[in-house]
Amino acid sequence: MKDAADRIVVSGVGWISGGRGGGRGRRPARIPELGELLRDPELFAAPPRNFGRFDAGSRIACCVCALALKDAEPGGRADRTGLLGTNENGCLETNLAYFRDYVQAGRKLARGNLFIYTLPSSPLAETAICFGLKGPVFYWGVPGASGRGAALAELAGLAADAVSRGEADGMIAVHADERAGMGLVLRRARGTEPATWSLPWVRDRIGQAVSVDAMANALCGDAGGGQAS
Amino acid sequence: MSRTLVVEADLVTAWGHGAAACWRGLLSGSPAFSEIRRFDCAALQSRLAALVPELHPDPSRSLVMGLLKPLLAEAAGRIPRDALVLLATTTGEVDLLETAPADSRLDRLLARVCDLCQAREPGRIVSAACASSTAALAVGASLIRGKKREAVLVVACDAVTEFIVAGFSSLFALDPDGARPFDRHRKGLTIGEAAAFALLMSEERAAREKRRALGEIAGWGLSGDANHMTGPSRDGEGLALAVRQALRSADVPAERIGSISAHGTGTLYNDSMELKAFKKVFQRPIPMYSIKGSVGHTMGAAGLVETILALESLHEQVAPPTANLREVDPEAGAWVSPAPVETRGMEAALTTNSGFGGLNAALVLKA
Repeated sequence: MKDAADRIVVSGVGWISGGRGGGRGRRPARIPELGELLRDPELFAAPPRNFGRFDAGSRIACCVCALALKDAEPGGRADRTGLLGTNENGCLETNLAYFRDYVQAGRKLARGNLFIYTLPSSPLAETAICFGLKGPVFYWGVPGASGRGAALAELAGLAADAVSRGEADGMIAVHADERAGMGLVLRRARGTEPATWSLPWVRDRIGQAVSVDAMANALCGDAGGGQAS
Repeated sequence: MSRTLVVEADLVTAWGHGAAACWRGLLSGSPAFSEIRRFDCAALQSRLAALVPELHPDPSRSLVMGLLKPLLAEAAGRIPRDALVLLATTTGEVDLLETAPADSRLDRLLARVCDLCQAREPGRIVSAACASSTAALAVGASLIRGKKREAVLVVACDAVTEFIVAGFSSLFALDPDGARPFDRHRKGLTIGEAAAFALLMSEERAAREKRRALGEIAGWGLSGDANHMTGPSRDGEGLALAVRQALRSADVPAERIGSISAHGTGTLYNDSMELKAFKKVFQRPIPMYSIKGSVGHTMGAAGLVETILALESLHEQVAPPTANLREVDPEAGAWVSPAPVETRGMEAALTTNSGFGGLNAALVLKA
């Protein structure tokens, strides 16, 4: 068996689906609106600056990360925590929103507040700013992945490798689009933490070991708007 | 641990096809800017861009496919089919957005690129704003160092589109007279377009296949400023963190870096931030340059274009001039030059990029 220091564990999980949001520390699941999450001082020390301006994907990514970080134990968020993200559509919706607005304005004046969300990495950048994450941040598109869970599991593997190589103290892997999202907090194992917490296994809220793939699919629903726990 | 070698690379920029043409253009110290005629710029902040000659809108394909098709066709046969394709771009085929929105999705572009390369499996998209291709090179190198892959093909592209020029205009980020990185009177950037690829390979496989190494990606570092969506951190600490990580990853002390290819967009804040970052890491001025006064800011492709040219710089032992530099910003004195600078004995070079959201990436390269 590997030394604890060599093992990477999932220390926090958060999800939002169909308007529901949760984490292992939030059971039974509630049905909060995102605004309710923003007012929760356990999730946000202060409401994120400019949250009202965020595009839908950025709102979900930010709230999912808040839930996952809260779910991770105290100290789970180090200064050099990074954030990797994925989704299915890149930024097509925000591209359309920005360009339609520009065309409707007579192709004379674009709106910067819409332009800044025309990158797949924009939701990650907003989230990193919100939580002061200074580690690696980038978008990883996984075309043809068999569901959100598969994409998130691959992303979690990349994130774990980055922690193993010492490129970050911790990483968050998040799958977020306009309707749903799930995030995992990863860090090095401490002491005698059970092996079931090591990737690709995490424990669901009733204590059963499930794969990241299965968990993401169950919680977020591959069709979007699936039932939360 | 396996070294990551660059065994094939090519590019197309406003200087035309090939690294040699671009290198000659850089050494001339002149900008390759011209007037945009693809769309009406009358209401936009600048009419200038670094445009690839002979690239024109064509209803049968996107602009970036017009760049990538000939580039990758020329390389056919030299790219192994088992190489994992990493596509780095900011907006890809966004010129299709009005006529065929779904076709502008990045996964569609990736599928087309994989077809051109006859790749055996679907590739991946890496996007980190204007540090996208630097991040892709870092991920590719990490997959090879970790022995998860033997070969990774990084493909990068972005084109000059109305979408992009209007967007940067809305942020008042363009210099109507052309970008002047590290100049005292710089006012903003000039958009450019480019496509490039680099085939990364493990040292062992490159030896087996008797491939000639163009250089090595010896180390990498990625960081976030966690500061602002469009403005860099004022103190440069985020970029400094990425540079220190890259040096650690390469096991190269700062004093062995012989030149720096800076992001150098020509905006007031970016260039100032970079200088602060480098001054935190390096004890003395190092020959530093930006190519964006010559080939413009090629966005998602910038990092790969700059890496290929930094390898050229390592081989030639010359740091190219910072084009369009008229009056050096006093903050940049002794770091940048409007003329080429000899760097005899240079063993390693640093290249850095930063993008929207404060995403930073740094690579340490060896010849």
